[in-house]
Amino acid sequence: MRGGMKREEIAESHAFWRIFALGVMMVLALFALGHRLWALQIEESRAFASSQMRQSVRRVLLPATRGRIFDRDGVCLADNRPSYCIALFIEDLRRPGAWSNTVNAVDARLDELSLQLGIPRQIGRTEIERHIYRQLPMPLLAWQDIDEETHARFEELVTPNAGMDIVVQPERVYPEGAVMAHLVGRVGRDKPKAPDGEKAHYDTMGMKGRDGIELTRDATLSGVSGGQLLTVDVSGYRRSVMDNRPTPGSDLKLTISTRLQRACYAALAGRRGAIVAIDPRNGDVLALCSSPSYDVSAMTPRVPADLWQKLLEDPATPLLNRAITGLYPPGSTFKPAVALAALRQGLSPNFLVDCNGVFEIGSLRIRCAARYGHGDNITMRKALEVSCNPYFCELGVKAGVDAITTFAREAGFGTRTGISLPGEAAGLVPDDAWKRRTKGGGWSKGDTANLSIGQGFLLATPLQIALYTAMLANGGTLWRPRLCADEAPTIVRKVAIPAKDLAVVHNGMFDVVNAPKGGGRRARVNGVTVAAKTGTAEYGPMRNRRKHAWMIAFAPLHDPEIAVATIIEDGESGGTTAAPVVAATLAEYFGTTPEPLEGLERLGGLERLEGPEGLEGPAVEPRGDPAAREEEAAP
Amino acid sequence: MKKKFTLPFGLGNLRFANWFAFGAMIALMAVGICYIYSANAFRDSARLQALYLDQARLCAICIAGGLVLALIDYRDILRWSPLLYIAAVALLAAVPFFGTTRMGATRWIFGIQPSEIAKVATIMAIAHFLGRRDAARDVLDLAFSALLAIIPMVLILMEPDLGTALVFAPVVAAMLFASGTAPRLLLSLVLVCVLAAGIILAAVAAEGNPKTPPTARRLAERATSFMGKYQKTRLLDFLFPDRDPLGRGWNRRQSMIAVGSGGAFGKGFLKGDQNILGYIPQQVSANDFIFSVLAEEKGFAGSSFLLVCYGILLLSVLAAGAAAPEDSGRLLCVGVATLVFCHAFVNVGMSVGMLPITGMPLPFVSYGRTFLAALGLAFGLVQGVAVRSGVQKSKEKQKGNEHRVN
Repeated sequence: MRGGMKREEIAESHAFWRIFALGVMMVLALFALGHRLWALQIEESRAFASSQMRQSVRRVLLPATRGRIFDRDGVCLADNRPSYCIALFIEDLRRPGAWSNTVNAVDARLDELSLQLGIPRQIGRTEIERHIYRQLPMPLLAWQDIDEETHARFEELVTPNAGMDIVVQPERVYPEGAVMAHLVGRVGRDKPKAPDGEKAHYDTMGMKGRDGIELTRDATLSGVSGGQLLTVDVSGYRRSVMDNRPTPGSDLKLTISTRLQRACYAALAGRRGAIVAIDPRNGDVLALCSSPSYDVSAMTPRVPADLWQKLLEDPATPLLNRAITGLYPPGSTFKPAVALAALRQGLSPNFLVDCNGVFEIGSLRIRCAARYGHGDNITMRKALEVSCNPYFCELGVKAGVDAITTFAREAGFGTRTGISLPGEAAGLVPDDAWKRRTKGGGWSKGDTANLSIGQGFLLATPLQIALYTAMLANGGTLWRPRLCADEAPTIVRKVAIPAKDLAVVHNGMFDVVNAPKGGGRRARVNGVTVAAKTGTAEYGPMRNRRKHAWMIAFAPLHDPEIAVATIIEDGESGGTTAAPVVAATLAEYFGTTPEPLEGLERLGGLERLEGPEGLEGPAVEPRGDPAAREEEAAP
Repeated sequence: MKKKFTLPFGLGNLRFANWFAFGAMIALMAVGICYIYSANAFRDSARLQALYLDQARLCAICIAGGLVLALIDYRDILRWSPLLYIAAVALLAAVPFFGTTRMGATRWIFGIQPSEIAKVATIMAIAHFLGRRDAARDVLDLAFSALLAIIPMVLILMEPDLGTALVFAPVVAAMLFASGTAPRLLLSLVLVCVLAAGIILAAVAAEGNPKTPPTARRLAERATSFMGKYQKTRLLDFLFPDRDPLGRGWNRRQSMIAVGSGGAFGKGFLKGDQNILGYIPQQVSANDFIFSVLAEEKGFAGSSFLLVCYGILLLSVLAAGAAAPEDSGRLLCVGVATLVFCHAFVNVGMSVGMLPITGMPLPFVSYGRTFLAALGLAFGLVQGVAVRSGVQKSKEKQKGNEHRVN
């Protein structure tokens, strides 16, 4: 066959097969490309898609609006104020070529705006350069916290989408300032936390609690921060934005009464001291005031370094929250606890002591407030009224240290109360083991005597004393202090106090205020019967004769609504320094006025109480326990 | 006998045109216009945004011009190919003196790229030369064909444009192969080329490697002295893609991300992030990197559709060549098919990271006026080959019929 073909035909059939081979090669090559495309677009597509996201998507966290804080009556204690900033969007001002062209354009725009708005520039060329270098897709805040007039002029001048806008930043304000400083605390600026823990490319600033309720309840207040996804182009300019709105923080309601707190702060008048007011019916903290204080408004958005240094160096330590962190010997305010401990030990309220002005045990001499003594046959009630040191020394020694410390611990001494505030101190209830551990010596009867008058090693915070007072007022319920309305009232424990024992203490505390020469008569308030116990706690070396003035009080005597503990450092005495402060506090609470001292005659009926024989007129009858009443009435 | 109705100017002969090739070309042109629009839709300049209209106009002209050429006997046109070849070479030679320089290379003169014309002119010249009746397919023919290719190659290398210069080699090799040149001659030519390419690659690699001893480095530098620094770096980027991921390897990486992130069906027309955000270099997204734009926006579906179009186009052009009545037409088809194939393969291969980055436009798709016009007219010639062989076959058939009747 082949031989029959002409030369041209053979050439043509060769050519066909050669072209066929070329075609096969081309198709194979196209298949190779197709294979590669399959690998890239189908098999590895996900990895490439994530590379694409990684290089062009930037994540920014949007802080949530912080919850506000209110007092029990709805008075705002921590609020958010909008702070208006003028922001420039660099991508709308971008210039091709070198970066400096864009910097020039932004610089020129800022000059122009500065002239138009009549405000000096807040940022210079260096800041623009830094912004472009570090966080190009973010808005450049050219003016922060502008006033209303500038805001209005800006809105008039600038058309929308001109590469500029107003950005609102919330700023924390504390309307009550120094009055609530320790309690509410303050916030600092901080990066918001991502809900999923993922990192953000650029830092945005939110708030974080630094002190007080702002710190302890930060989780409630801060909410959940949102996110923003910025798509950036190859040069890093912002192209588009996708928002994920933050969830605002919850508002918080406190049990504090601003009215009362203000009165406390005013009553302390800048002296070093603290007042804590507790509702003995449920443990609500009505006031928690520490003095001196500081203006917390000056500390947002950031604390000026010089102010902070000044506060740190102030000898009056204004930064210290004395109400929960201050540790003081409770002094005579501890005596009701000793009395109850002794009564629980079976000692009689008619345990009699002759007071000659001094109590001696071993080498220890404890002086009484009355230089020449309170006289013979002092009863427990009388001893409480006149705060007789020798009486309680004897009573305490008789009852024994264990009885006292056990009762003190039950009453909350030596344990943190668990209030939702940072930095609470635990205090100290000393005993034999403690003394051996820390002082190297054993417990002596002298130590017991000292403990019995609230001196020596015993230390407590004003808050502990206030809760103990509330416990005395309500007949044995020790509350966990409730500061936030969303917490449930919690009973720490019910201290077993027989009604007749309680009556003795109540009567004694009634006398402190209401006896004509009662040491706490300055705590009287019009229209309300107040029961109280003064304290003048000595501290430091004896020769310095430095004293803290204490007073604990509750009112009304029957069905008490408020229990107050007050301390004023380096006061004269509880009765003269602390009692008027308590009176002011209680008067504010009951909406009345402190009773002037001249009004003593009004309580004429009480004249009979004067002297040891006045014992027959009980102000408080032990309720629901006739047997106990009879027992007490019996001589 | 019934008088047959005939269209004027032999328009009726267009029924013999290769409609598969024509259809594939139209499809590719349409894809090109769409994605030139997409590639430039987000640019600031209005001129760039309207670039697709430019391309559409030129496509229309090419289609019309191609049809006119298809009606003329291609042999009459090929007769002028020596003149065209000389004109193209002259234009190339003028480039260094009168050309405009863009991006470090002098390729343009009077707004056109003579190198693109030279490709088509060389194919036509070789087809014409090897299609002579007395062509012997011996060493002399081979050498002359090679010379026809080497002259424009050297001129283009001087521009410098390595990619375009290199494309001559496979095109001429394919034409020689199809012409029936003795396999041993062709093989030795291919061997020489491969060896030369191997030496050059090794030399560039050695030069780019900091550990190369100085004597070897000097040798390597001498071997690669004909190349510009620009081409060396491009080759090095290909050989060592991780050498400089944020620098020269950047384009390759970004193109792969664009193609890969497209996935199966793409992100949607005008929704290619890599293109919108400028990660695909904006100056060349409408020409060199148009495939990446398409692959990102239409995914594997779109990119394989493109490959199928090329497959249909190439096979039908080759088929037209196989059916051609004589050598010059056959070789013309093979040359044009190989040119289209090389461009498509290198361009797509570059976009998917298989081949080094070179400025090879995607035939009928990329924006590039000279290349599109040259290719469009070459396609007219290819259709002319199809039409001629159709006409001849129908004449033979008619003759046979008459014979039988007689």
